[in-house]
Amino acid sequence: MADERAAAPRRLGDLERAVMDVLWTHPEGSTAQEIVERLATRTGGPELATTTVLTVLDRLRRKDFVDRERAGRAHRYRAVSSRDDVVAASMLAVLKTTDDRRSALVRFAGAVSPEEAALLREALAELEE
Amino acid sequence: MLADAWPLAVLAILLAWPVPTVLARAVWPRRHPRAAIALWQAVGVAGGLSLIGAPLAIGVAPLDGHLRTGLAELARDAVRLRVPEALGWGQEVALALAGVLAVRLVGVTLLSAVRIERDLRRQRYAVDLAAEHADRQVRVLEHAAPAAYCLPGTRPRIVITEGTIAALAPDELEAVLAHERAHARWRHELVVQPFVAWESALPLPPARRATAAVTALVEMLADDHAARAVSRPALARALVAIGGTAGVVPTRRGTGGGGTAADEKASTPTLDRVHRLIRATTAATATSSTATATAATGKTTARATAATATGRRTTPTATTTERLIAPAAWLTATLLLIAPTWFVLR
Repeated sequence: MADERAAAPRRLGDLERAVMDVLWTHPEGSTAQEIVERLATRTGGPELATTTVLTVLDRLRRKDFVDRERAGRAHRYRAVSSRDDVVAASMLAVLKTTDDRRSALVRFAGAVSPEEAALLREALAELEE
Repeated sequence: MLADAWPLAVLAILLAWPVPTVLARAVWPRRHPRAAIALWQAVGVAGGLSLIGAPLAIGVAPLDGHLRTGLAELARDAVRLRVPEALGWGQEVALALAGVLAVRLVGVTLLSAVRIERDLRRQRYAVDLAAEHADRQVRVLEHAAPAAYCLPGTRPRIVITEGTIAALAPDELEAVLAHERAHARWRHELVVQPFVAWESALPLPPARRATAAVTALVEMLADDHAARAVSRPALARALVAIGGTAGVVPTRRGTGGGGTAADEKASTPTLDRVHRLIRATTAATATSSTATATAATGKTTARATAATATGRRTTPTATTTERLIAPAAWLTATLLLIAPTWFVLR
């Protein structure tokens, strides 16, 4: 059966991304059933099982990317922060660390002061001569 | 009496202060980053072991001047829950110091590794979810500020922003990606992390200098790879383009008085790296023009090309010295690891 859903995301990671996409484009929140429908509309494929989507939502909730509130008999799911905020937080986590030592993330170039930016450009001009 | 204690103490002191200070100031490491990293690692391991070994040797000296047999004797007494009578308070303090240092070094290293891995897992997960484009390894974030970094691991992610793509020409972007791929492929975080951990265990200037030096050397290794894979000028231009605007990214720096100092330290390596690339380029241009000239006169020989391939126009003696630097660093690193071990176990 899974093979027939060629258009639907199949790997768990892709599924999580797809669900987050739906939640990010609908900040007002969605029920699991609505997510199933919206995913199917996007991919143009058949609907996923609601339980599959609930499993994905549960994983995302445990990692604090999603929260939910009761809405009648179902739950309404919502992204904890917007996509822009996740991107910004993720970049800040890397860039704020003083020359990438604390988190030992290896990043391309450190932040420079305006004076040093000028020095850098000067050095480059030297190269291009 | 203190047979083992003195040599170990001297080694510990040398490796704890003067050696890292001198090594951090040396210029040759930027020409031989790999050998220099090996030497730093040996200094770190030998330094840590002698720092624990010296107070241990001082502590067990009244039992036996020889550290190994002295420890064995201490252990025999400890099993019988007895403190040897020969130990004065000075020796007890030395033994306690050795114990505290050992626990702290091991403990902080483990804690730091766990904390970093937890942060990284969260980071990898976040960029996987939020990236607007993703291939097997690269994640593109929709953000105007130029940034490129590697989230290391067994399945590393290379993260770049829309701002990076917008700021760079195709070959410059290729150079940035090659640089990050080098970090990812050779697991450079495994080189840097122990130094970060040791620095938090012993937050002293030499440890700080060691971490800064090793971080810079790892960047140079990745630069060399990117320069080979793409080109030196492209990489230098990319460094200037990204390094020159990275200040735009809002950071928490600059809020306190220490902000300026941190900025200075963080940025100097970028400038260093650009200069290093430029110097190598001009040297290479000089070399290739020499080679062309030689070829034109029909006197070209493989040896002439090989001699100039070192990329430095120097006198023969200086070239010989230059060639000996890397092997000497490797040899010193090996000796630093073997000699104290042999000395203690003999």
